[in-house]
Amino acid sequence: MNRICFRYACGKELRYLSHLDLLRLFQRALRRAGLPLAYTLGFSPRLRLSLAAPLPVGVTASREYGEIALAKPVAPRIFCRRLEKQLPKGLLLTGVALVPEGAPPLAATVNAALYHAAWNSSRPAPPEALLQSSLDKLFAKPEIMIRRFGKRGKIISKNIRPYIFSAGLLPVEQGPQLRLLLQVGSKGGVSPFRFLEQLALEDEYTGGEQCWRIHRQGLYIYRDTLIDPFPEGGEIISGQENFSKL
Amino acid sequence: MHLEKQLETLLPQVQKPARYLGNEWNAVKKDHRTTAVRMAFAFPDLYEVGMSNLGLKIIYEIVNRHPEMLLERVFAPAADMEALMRQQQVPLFALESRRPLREFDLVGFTLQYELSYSNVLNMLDLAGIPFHSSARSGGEPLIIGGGPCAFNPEPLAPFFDLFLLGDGEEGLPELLERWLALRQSGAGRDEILAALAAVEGVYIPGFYRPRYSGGSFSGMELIHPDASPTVRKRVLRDLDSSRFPLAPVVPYIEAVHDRGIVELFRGCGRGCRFCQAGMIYRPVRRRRPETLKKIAREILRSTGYDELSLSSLSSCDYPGIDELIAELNREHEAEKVRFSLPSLRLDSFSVALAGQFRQGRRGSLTFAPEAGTERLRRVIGKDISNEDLFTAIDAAVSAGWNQFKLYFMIGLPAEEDEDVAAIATLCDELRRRIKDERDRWIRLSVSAAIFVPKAHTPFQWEPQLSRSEVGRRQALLRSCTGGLKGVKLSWHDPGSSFLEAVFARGDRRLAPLLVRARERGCRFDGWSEHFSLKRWLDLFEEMGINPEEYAYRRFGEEEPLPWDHLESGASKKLLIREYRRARQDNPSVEVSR
Repeated sequence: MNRICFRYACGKELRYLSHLDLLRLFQRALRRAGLPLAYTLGFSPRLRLSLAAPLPVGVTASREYGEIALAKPVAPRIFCRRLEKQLPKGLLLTGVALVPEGAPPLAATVNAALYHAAWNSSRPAPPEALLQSSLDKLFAKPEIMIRRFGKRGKIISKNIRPYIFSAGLLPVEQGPQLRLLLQVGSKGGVSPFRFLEQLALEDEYTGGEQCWRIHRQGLYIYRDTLIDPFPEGGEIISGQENFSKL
Repeated sequence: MHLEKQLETLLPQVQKPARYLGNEWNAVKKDHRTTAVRMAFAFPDLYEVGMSNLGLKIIYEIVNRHPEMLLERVFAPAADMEALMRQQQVPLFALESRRPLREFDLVGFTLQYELSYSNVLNMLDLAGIPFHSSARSGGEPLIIGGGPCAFNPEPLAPFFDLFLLGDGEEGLPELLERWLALRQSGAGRDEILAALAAVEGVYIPGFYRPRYSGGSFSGMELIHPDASPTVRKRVLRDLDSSRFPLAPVVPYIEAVHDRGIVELFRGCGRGCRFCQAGMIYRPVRRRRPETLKKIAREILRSTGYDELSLSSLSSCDYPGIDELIAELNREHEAEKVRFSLPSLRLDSFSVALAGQFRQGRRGSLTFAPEAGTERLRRVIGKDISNEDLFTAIDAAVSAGWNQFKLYFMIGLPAEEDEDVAAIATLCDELRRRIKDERDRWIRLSVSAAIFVPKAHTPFQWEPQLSRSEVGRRQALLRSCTGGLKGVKLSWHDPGSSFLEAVFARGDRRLAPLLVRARERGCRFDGWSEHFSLKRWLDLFEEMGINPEEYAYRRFGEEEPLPWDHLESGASKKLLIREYRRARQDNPSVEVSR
């Protein structure tokens, strides 16, 4: 099985796309690129494509990951050259790597997402001291329950406290900015919007999710330390980390 | 840009913000400062509906390929977006440049169905463009219209500067070139319109004044020296060598028809008496198989679609359709491309054809018998037998399908209760004969639409069945199909079909009503969650208009009709002959010959 992992950045032009929209976009781009794609068997053949940890709608990102199975081996350099021509403005390939035989899919191993949230509202920004005390209050809670509508209008409650690894203020000039490390993936997770919503319940001056612009810095495997999930020895195509400015 | 900033605050708050982005793959962005003709193409429905429309793709291609012209898209914003736009005073803008609509030279509305008329006015309102042609100055865009409803555009007549009837491939560029020359020569609005009247297919409603006597339409009066007594539709003679959209815009969000389109032929060789498309798209013009294969190849390469629809009014009638699909399948085997046909003629669907859709079996096949009995099918000019239906379904089942959609109509002229009950009998017979062979139930989705008499058809004189009687026949059909396992029945709302009939045979007296309907909040009347019959009935009463005069009355053969001055290609003489033959249960003479 020839699997390729690609890393990409998603800019503000495309931040309103849903996860399914993005999947469709990549499917079509890969088809246009004329790569030897592998399909599932059966009456309705599909690409073996996955994108790790859905990006919340409205969020830009620097280091996202996708995986695609090919019918025969293609060098990362060539894969990159073919695919990048087919990506719209707002999507940038930043790395391509062969996935080692037998490695689990990235979607199954990535479990943490690092977000930066910058104040983005015509309302005056809350003072940092106030933000810090709201964060402290929120963290002091043994559980943080949120409610949302599930299927057939059923209300589902869940405790998001275990999914918040850390949250703090970033020491930046034009603040305030928050740094949020949140759990993602199959074992549960929380979106940065829900976190900010809860923060606003502690103190309304923190503004709620509408007042912040959110950028996802990267996806990680979190086990005591943050581990970069990109396969080792991967071809790093471009280091344009500044591509998606907040 | 100011608008850009405002949008940034709106988009996070709405459903499906990707409807309003305008930066999709293959979208064309041209410079407004260096392009002489700037036109917006307005589709008066949601993005995902409009993006499925072939006409939009063709016009987008035809205008944008011209170095001096640009064409951008705009759709009706959904209710949540509209509310925010009004609250923040964001004018309706075109997607590609995000420029307000009123900064364009022309705005072209495509009129696909009558129930989008309230959206047309609402879009003008959101754009800040005065509704009435007479109230617009030279600085406002020219408002033009096209599409099937332009063949009776009278309810919208006061709002439009001109309509273009028929095929747009040659007509629209010619119109725009003339407009540019006139504009550059310094001609004023009235002068421009007078000169454009000479373009074949152009109808300038302001040059005509309807007369009424005794409460009904009695003829069109010409009130301008350049008005011609009749306007003939534009016909593209050579479809095969005409430009086709090879790199259509690929939506990010899922369109209603999320696939590429290859148009096999235009027009329809059948003469179904209820069918407006069959009349106004005449004559039949085909593309050669080589051209079609080249188009398919190009579209797949430029879009990355995994499905292509081989579209026409009656695609099975394409000579050699089996071989064409076989060849396309062979060529695109490795890319796993699916080819689909929109709806199938029962009498020309063969075992050979059924076998060509190897990859399509997960989906369903669509057939349109229209009526439950052979007698009624003869009346409507759709001369197919029950045996045709059985043969077609047998062929499909043996090729692996087990899901079918069947389209019927309720309230067709000369329909009796037996005809309605026969729909259920037919479905039952179908599932039984197949169950016998395969020992499992097939799934039938039965859709029962309501007959709407349309302008330029042999049934344009026929009354629509009253809402209460439609309701009774629908109930009869429900009770007949109720016990049939595997048969799912869906039906249309008699109220919205009634409104459709009013506007389909309407005249200019309905225009003031449309203005008021928009004020009252009428939008998206084709969507059941937005449509309110009561709101419309109250409006009719307030305005002193009896809607039943338009929908429920049998029009007289001698009576002048509000669309008599517009020539669709099917002459009134021919329509009358077919109308009379229908009443003697006679099969139709194939009108396109």
